Order: sequence, then C-alpha cells, then structure tokens
Amino acid sequence: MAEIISVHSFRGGTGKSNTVANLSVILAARGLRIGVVDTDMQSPGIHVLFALDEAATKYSLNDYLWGKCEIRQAAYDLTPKLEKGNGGRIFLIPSSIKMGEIARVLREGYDVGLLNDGFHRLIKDLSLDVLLIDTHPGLNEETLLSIAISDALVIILRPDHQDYQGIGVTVEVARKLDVPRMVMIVNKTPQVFDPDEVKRRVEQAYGCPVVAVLPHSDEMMALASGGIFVLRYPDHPIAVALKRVAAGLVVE
Amino acid sequence: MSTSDRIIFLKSVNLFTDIPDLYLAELSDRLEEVEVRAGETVFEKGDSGSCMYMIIEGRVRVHDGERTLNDLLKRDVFGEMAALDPELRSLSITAMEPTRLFRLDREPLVGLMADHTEVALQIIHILSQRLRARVVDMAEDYKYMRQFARVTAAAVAVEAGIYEPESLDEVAARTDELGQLARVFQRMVGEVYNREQRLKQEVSELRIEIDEVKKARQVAEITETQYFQDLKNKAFRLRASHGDRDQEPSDG
Repeated sequence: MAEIISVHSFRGGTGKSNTVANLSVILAARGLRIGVVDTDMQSPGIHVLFALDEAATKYSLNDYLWGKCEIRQAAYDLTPKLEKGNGGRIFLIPSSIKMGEIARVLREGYDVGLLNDGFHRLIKDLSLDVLLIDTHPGLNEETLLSIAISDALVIILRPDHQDYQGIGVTVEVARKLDVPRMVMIVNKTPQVFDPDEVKRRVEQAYGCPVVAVLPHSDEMMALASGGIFVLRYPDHPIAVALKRVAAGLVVE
Repeated sequence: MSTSDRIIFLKSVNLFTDIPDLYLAELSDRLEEVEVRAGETVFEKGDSGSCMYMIIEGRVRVHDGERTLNDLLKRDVFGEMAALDPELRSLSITAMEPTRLFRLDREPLVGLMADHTEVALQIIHILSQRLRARVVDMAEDYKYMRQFARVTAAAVAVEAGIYEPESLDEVAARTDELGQLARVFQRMVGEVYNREQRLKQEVSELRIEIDEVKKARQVAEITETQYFQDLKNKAFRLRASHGDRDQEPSDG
C-alpha cells in the first residue's frame, strides 16, 4: 500500500525542501520506491538539492497541470546519482524554474483537481511505495489538497520564527481533514534552546507529537543547497535523528 | 670641594658610613668630580667600565633602553659592581637634570680594601645586605608571577565551565594592581554567569502564544469555503484510493 506524506511549513526558510530530500534518500536506502513532488510552484528549490540537470529537464509539474504531458513524463529517476544496489529508487517531479511559468502559476492558477489525479497516476505508473510532497508554505488550495490525501503530515517549524499562530491554524485545519498521522519537526534550533524543553512546549501548544528537535548545524549550512546532508554526513546526529523520523513515518 | 668636605660627603654615602675618617681621607684624594648636563649619558649598558659614581647633587635615571628602572638622587651610588668586579655595564645611566658626580676608580678602592680588612668587610656587608634585599624581591616577584598565573588559569577555567570564584580569593586580597585585576575578574565573571543564567531561563521558556479566538476565526475562514467542504467530504475516499496500486497492475 502506497503512502503519501506531505511535508509542510507555515513559512519558508524552515528547511522543508532539505528535509524532504533527506527523508527520500533515507527511505530509498531502505529499498523503497520514492516519488518526490515539488508543489512549491511559486518558489521551487528541491531540484537544486538533487542537482537535477535543468537542461535535461524537458517537462515539469507545470506542463502536466497545463495538459502538455503525462505526469510520468515529468518524473526524473535520480537513483543513478544517489545510492544504488538495494532496489530503492527516487523519482523527482520538479516544478518549473522558468520565470514565465512561475508567473503563470501565480496569474492563472491551475486545476487543483489535476494534482490529485497526477499523484495517484504517479503511484500507479511508477509503483511507488511512498510519495513525498514538498508543499507550498501557507494554506492555499493545493496545500489543502495535499494534506487531505496524505496518510501522514510532517509540519516543520523553527523555534526562532514567530509564526506560532499560523502553525496553530495549520494543525487545526489538518485535524479537520482527518490526517491519520501528524507529526512535527523543530528544525534549525539555536543552541541556546534546551531541546527537551522545546519538544515539551511545542507538544503542549499543539497537541501534536514532536518527532525531532534538530539543532542548527554549521555543516548543514555550509552544505546549503550543495547536496544531500545524510549522504555527506551519514553519522551526524541530525542524520541519525532524520533516520529515526523516517522509520516512524513509513508503516512497512 | 675641600678634603674635609669630601670626607663628610663620603661618610654620608652608605657604602662608606662606617669607615674611619683616616681611610676616607686617603680615598677623598682619588675622587674625581664630573659634571653632566641634563640628558647626557654617564655610561650605557654594554660599555666596559671599572669605576663607580656617587651623586653629589642632581638626579639620574637608571634605564634599559626606553624602560626606566629607577631614579637615583644625591648620595646614591651607581656602577660599584663594575668597580669591584670589572664587567660590562648592565644598565645605562642618564642625567635627568644638571648633575655633579664623584668618580672613584677601581684601583684606589681595591687598594684601600686590600690594605684595611675592616674596609673590605664593611663593603662586603653592604653588598650582602643589598643581595639579601634582592632575594626577598625575587621571592616577592615569584609569588606575584604565581598569583598572576592563577588569574590566567581562572580565565581558562571560565572557558571550560569549571571556574570557581574562590580560586582567586588570595589574589583578590592583594592591595596592588594584580589584586584589583583579580577582583574585577571575579565580579565580571559573576555578572556574565548571572546574565547567562537569566538568558537560559528566558530561552528555555520558549513562549508559544496563540490567540485562540483569532485562530478559530482563521480556521473558519478556510474550513467554511466550499472548496474545503468538498475536500473534506472526499478526503477519506481520496486516501483510500491511492492504496490500491497492488490491486491494479501498472499500465505505464
């Protein structure tokens, strides 16, 4: 049974795309077939982490939504670039990075219903075990749809970002959509915070389990968009924590 | 200056105070009066020399390059070590104002000591006293250095988080500048520690403030839309439908 996991943050800059990329690599390393969809169409970014060759990228999610291609044609097999040999695969469905197409999304929007069809098509066509959705920050229609169809929702927040109200709204809305599993990751936690205390407070405020309180990491900052953290630093405490998160997300 | 004046002067110089007038009369004939202008150097460190000087009037500076070690005044003696034991001058002497000196060469001084044992003993006595005072100074210097090292050790301990304020109590009890340094250090470390504790308390109390009334309104703004209602009605079916890839063969 395929599982859809949405990764969301109320605001940008929380490390959402980075988390999606790392979780996909961890899950693929366990032999699973993973699809990663970048629905953050207004500010796409995850393709950079995977070093997707833009010149070789003929179709994107945008083309599918505008009826120019099948969703499978916008899926790129990244497995050769990453670890191999265990049967795991990663397919990325990027958003267009062309300014004109980003502007068109903002101007015209698209049929959100198509997104749902596309997700299910992908799962079927690529025999996916897990579909990871990198959502757009905020709560627009495609994000609501992603949440509605997800088996699990991961909400990422930063303790130094004062967007607690917006996160509260997100959690409440997700509850009303009956998401079976909802967890939180506190990311980029400054050293002055006590992680246990942060976990306790966040859980208390939102009534939602916090599966990781990840510290701000200089290594991750240095790597920035230059690669996948868990591949570069497999034994780093952050990588270990993300592996634990991944194990808890996927019911095998 | 008359012979009797010279004898009176010699008796006022502590090296010769207890030497009988008779012998001083012999010496007084061998004194040569020297006048130096303000700023003029009497001798420089490294010069060879075998005479000593006594200040009749004026003031000289004992120095090593730019660094002043001492000021000498009327009736003070300098250069006596070279007179007794010819070696290169260990420090420089420069007049700070117009100064008159008596110069006494090695030969008459040593001659007097050879002829009269009591003179030799008296001079040895004076030199021994000076040496003893120097030993006391050195012990004091050593203690100073040891206590100074305590302050630097305390700085290292602060950095390592193992500083104990009592470790500086002894140094802080000094009345000199080192004591003041230790007291300021103790106080500042205390202040920094308190500030850090306050900060820790503040940050560990990660305040998550959510305006529940506002949240309810914000949630309603989303959940009361037709789109959301449709989505909620479909959510269960949507989730159920993507779990069927095992049943339907891939058609891609």
